[in-house]
Amino acid sequence: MANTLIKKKNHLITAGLLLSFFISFYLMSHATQASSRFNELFTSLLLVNILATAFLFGLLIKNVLWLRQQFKKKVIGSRITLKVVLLFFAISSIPTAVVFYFSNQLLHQSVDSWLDVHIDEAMQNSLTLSQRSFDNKTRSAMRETRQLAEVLENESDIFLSLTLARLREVSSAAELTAFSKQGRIIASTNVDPGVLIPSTPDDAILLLLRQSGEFIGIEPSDNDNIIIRALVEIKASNPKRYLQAIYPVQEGFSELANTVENAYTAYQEFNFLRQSLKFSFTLTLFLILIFTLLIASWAAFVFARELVEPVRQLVKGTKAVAAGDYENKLPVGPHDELGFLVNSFNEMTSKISATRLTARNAQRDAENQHAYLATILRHLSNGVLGFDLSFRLMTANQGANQILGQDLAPCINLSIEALSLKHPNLEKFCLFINQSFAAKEPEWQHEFTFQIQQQKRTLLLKGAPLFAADDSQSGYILIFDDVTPIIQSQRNAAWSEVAQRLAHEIKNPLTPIQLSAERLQRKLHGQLDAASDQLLKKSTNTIIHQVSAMKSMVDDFSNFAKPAKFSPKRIAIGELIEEISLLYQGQIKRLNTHLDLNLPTIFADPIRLRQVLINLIKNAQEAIIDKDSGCIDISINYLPDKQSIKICIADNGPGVDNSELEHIFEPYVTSKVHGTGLGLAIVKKIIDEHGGTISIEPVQPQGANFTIHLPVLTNKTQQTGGSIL
Amino acid sequence: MPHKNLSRLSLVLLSAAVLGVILFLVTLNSSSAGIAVKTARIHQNSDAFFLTARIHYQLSKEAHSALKNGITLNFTVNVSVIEPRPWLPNKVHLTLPLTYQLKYHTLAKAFQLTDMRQQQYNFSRLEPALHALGILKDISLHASLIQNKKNLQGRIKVALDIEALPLPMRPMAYISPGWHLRSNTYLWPIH
Repeated sequence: MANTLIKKKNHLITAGLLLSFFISFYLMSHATQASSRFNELFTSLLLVNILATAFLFGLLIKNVLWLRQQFKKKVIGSRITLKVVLLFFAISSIPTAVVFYFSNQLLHQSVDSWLDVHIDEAMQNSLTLSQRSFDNKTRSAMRETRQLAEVLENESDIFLSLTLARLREVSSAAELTAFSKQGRIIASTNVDPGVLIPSTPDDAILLLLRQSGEFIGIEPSDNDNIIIRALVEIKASNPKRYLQAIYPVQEGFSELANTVENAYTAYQEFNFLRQSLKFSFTLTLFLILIFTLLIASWAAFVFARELVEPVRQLVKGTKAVAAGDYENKLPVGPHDELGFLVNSFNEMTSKISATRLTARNAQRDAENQHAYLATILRHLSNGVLGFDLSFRLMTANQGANQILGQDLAPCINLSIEALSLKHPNLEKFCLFINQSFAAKEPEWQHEFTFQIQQQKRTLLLKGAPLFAADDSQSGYILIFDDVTPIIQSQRNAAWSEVAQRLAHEIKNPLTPIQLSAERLQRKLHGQLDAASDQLLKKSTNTIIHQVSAMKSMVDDFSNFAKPAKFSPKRIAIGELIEEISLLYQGQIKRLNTHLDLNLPTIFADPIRLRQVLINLIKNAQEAIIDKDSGCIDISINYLPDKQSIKICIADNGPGVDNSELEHIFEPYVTSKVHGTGLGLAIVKKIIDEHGGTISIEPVQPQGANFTIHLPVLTNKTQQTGGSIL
Repeated sequence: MPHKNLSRLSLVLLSAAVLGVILFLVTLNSSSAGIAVKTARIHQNSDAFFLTARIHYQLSKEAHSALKNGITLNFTVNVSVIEPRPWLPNKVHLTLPLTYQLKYHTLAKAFQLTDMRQQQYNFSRLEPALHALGILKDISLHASLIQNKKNLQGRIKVALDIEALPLPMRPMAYISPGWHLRSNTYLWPIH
């Protein structure tokens, strides 16, 4: 608002200045007329107008330099400004120049036409005629003066004055004067007694007089009269005297002569001033031309600025929008089409900005939702796989990777067939879900068992179609969970129940049986013949040993069913293994231990962990008992990335059949003749209680390798008691 | 910024050059034409002061041609009595402009000189007319303005009045050196 007021004020000042200059030019053109009252101001006006023109020229130079600078800087709108200015200048300069040219030509022709050759001759002739008319008068005046001089011959200076007065009265002369050779007045007489000083000739006339003895001439006198001055030498005068007679010309004649003289002089002056007149007119016209062109140029700059400003704003606004700035509001322009355009632009950017904000909010919501879902999926223990309608894998969460034992991230966008080709161990799984989805059931749930990493896994699969926002189907979702531990737990629980019952039902009669057998052996010892005594002893020993074996078996059952209390504490696993290894150093020929130097302490029950290690080493020892080159390797490593301890106990014994691998940790599964089948089951149970995992894998060419992963407790888990408690 | 300064500098230099050329043309006198104050004095006769001066006039070709073609030439003799003051502008006690007209009478073939008292003098030739124009004799000054004052100086400046020329001639006269007929400032002590 303030800028607009300043602009208007500036425009008013400039308009006032221009109006002043225009008035000045008008006065100057008016002053060129001979009768103008501004005639005396012509030079001042000319100076003012030249200064005004210089001022406008300076203004033009400033604007041109400004435009040049804008053009060099490639400022928005400078090209349009240049075009508008050039167009304005061309439009104004061409007609103005044409008008100037023809006006100048017309003026020159008019001035020339005023001075006609015939008029020139006529004026010259009229002057000659006047001069001829005076010739007769001068001749008679000369004659008369000579006669008067003759009268004055031999006249002494004493009577000269009286004689002159007498002669003047009888002659037509108005004044008679006698001069010495040096021009000194000797005597004088005038028809007007008031004239005391006679009219004296100038030095040139006196010189001529002295040279030729006579002089005659006409002279202008006061009151526009003309007089005839005649001078003759007075002969026979000693010293030399000269007579001057002044004859007035008749008033009417003088008036006519003056009229001719004035007209001729005016015409001569005009003729002389012809070039100057043309120059003055041309100069005035030229100044007006320059002034007009400069005003047009200045106006062009002002108009171009006003015109380009909204366009400049629009271009700036468009650039801002292109750069993503929708908040930039353009200043409201004039109430015309450009102003309407600016308003429309502002309205458009406002709408875009609002829409963009809404879209951004929606996008943020979607991203939040996505992040929320991704977080859930990432931390979900269930496996989630998403497929599109053509069964290409679109989503796979961490749970799926863990359950399937494969990193499926690189398989995104692969078809289910490509997925099975890439991971052959998932072939059955892929085939199954492909068939299940192809069955066109909207939702389905199946249990699926397959082997992965030499372990039998049971998965609970649930499939469902995926729907887009418009309720159209966009793909399929598969959610699955590894129910193997649950099944295993259920089975273990069942076995525990069986073991507990067996222990309860069997253990109770075993002690009386054993005691009875021992009593029989003690009471009947020596009462029977040797053969019967031997038979009794053999039979009772058999009963006692078998009962002991059964008690041992029942104890195992009892231990499996009701384990001792879990009492974890911080232990150094390396030291534990070394201690156990020392127990077997003498029994096993080749027992190699490889311990990581940077093993951290772990939080575990040392008694139960000792039981695990002894069981596994014992198993390995039994496996290599018949081999001379039997060897057991125990290694323990720290896996910082998984924050776990990896314990491997490998032997080169006969190994385990592949068919047994998937059931080896189940109770009552054994390949030994006298084994109860509970050793590895107890081992797995203890490892599970510690939050770890145990697996077995064959060793090439022969042997088996048990791998245990035990978690390393961090400070946080230690403070909270750990996840295994 | 450097371009802008350069443009301004070139503009100033161009303007200075144009002004210099104009001044050079203006101050340039053609041939020996000009006006020079030869002598001047103020003498006292009882209570009256009188100026007597001798001025040399020499018309330029342009002025002579204009005179012969009927143009009246106006000369202004500016007589001043000043009191010089240190560190201050001179104090002017008296200013007396004397105007003279010189024209050519075609019919009489005479040069007609009109003095400030409108007295006309006719001369058959230009030289005597200029001679007469250059003689200022016993021109009365206002005695009261300069009486009993000390350290006074007389000052005379003579110039052809261009503004009195016919209007069409003035623009050319201003830029033509031939029309710049003016004397130097003649100063002399009065007491």
